[in-house]
Amino acid sequence: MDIEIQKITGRPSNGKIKMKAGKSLAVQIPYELAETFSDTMEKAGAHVFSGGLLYYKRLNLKVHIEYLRKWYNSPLKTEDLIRQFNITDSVSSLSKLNRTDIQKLAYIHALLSNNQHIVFIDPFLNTVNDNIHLFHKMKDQLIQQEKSLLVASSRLEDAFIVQPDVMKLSEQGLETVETTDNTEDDSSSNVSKIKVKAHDKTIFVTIEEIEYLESHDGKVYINLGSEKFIMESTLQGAEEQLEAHGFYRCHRSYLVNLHKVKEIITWSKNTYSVIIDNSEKSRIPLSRTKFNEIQDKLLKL
Amino acid sequence: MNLFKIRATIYRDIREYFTNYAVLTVLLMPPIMALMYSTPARNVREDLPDAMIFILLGTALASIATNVPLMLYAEENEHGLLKLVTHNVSDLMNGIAGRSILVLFVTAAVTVISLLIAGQVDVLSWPLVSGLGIAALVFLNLGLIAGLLAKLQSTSTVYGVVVLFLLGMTPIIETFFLNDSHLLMKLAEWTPVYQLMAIHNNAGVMPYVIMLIWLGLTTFSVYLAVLKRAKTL
Repeated sequence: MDIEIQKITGRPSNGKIKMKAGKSLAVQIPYELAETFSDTMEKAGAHVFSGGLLYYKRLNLKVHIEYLRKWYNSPLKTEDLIRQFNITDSVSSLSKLNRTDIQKLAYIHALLSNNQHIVFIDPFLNTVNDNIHLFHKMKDQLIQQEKSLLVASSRLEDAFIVQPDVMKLSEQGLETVETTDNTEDDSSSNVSKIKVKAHDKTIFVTIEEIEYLESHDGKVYINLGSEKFIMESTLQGAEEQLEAHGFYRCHRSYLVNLHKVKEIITWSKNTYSVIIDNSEKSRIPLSRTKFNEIQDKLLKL
Repeated sequence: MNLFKIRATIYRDIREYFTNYAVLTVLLMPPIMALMYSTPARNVREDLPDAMIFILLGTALASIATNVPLMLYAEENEHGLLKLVTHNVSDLMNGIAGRSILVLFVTAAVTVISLLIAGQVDVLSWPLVSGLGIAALVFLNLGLIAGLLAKLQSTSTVYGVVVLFLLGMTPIIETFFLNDSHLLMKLAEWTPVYQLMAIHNNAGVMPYVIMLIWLGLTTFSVYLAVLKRAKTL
């Protein structure tokens, strides 16, 4: 199924999003285009899972799954799905369950759907890691079923959770996000603070407090606490400055403070994330080629 | 028509009936009414007057065939639930078919139970049963129209109550002791429940004609409602 990008962005473009059977796509889309994107995909005939969770609150998970199974006349068995998706409580009504359990219903629905084209929009917002693992399980099964899967995310790091090859949709069109690694190395610096801009102020941020840096739309953003600041440098320049302070370029677009790394998660054989020890448990993409090196660095820290 | 989708809708709705207290209340209303109306008559060893029997029948039709689909669709519209599995007109029609089959079956069952409680089951003759069948479809259509177009559960309740009082309990107008030539009496004579009373009194073919006109108009309105609702799926 091909979808013209012009219908999403509203700007002239020859580009198309091509959904192919047995393949998955991960696309980062601007937040403001999410609704148009969802409408366009639905009109094109895809089954779109986006926004809030839809469910009949008075039914329990077992009955709900069985209802969906009957609706689509799916050969999959309800008991197998319950076991596969680690559903512990399938008899309490859905109004009593938490979001984590109800979210699994969306994954099961995608497997039961007889639509060949499945789209998830921002599936990882407020999602626990266990459910992300289940999402990958669902993704593998959808591909085995020869369905096409497209995951659209407003955050680039969420798109990288799906697969290492990510595309980016902008007003100009669709482009692949480069993931070749920058192997340059340079000397350290003696600075303990760096200069950042916040609105009309210039702030000096303590390097130890920085959680990670990300490069986005030609700008470098420093993340600490729940705040973002713009740094007047390229990511490469920041890497040169901060490498001696325990910062590591885990991905072409991300530089993490190794002192703030809590854990590394493997989603699939090609997708990894570094989890930052902050209140949001931020998930930063980790390149496949850097997987072993970062572990050595963390051990030697 | 997709039988799997119709069966799935029936499967889901059966569970809704037992867990939705509003629907349960509406299902219990006719039998409770039958008990309340028939007890005084039983105590004096008399049959219920015809008007009371037909108020009971009209209430069963209006409360179940109209209000149950109305409430279920209104709730689905309010919470956006229709989008869960309904993606096109065909899905919508399959859902309507499944819901309607179950509602008609439950309406028939509750009507018979209510008549048994009232001790009036012998009022059912083949002409009246066929008239009740047409009337049930009319009331079902009224519920579907209001339910498909309702945006909120709270406002849909208003439509349900209006149908219940004006079209379900029409014979109650007899207690106003109006002249036969009064406008309200003239209007009441065209309502479905009055056609059922006419069939019971062997009024020939005209009541069936009037009911079929009701059925035609309401079915066309359902068709328009489906087209309108399908645009926002």
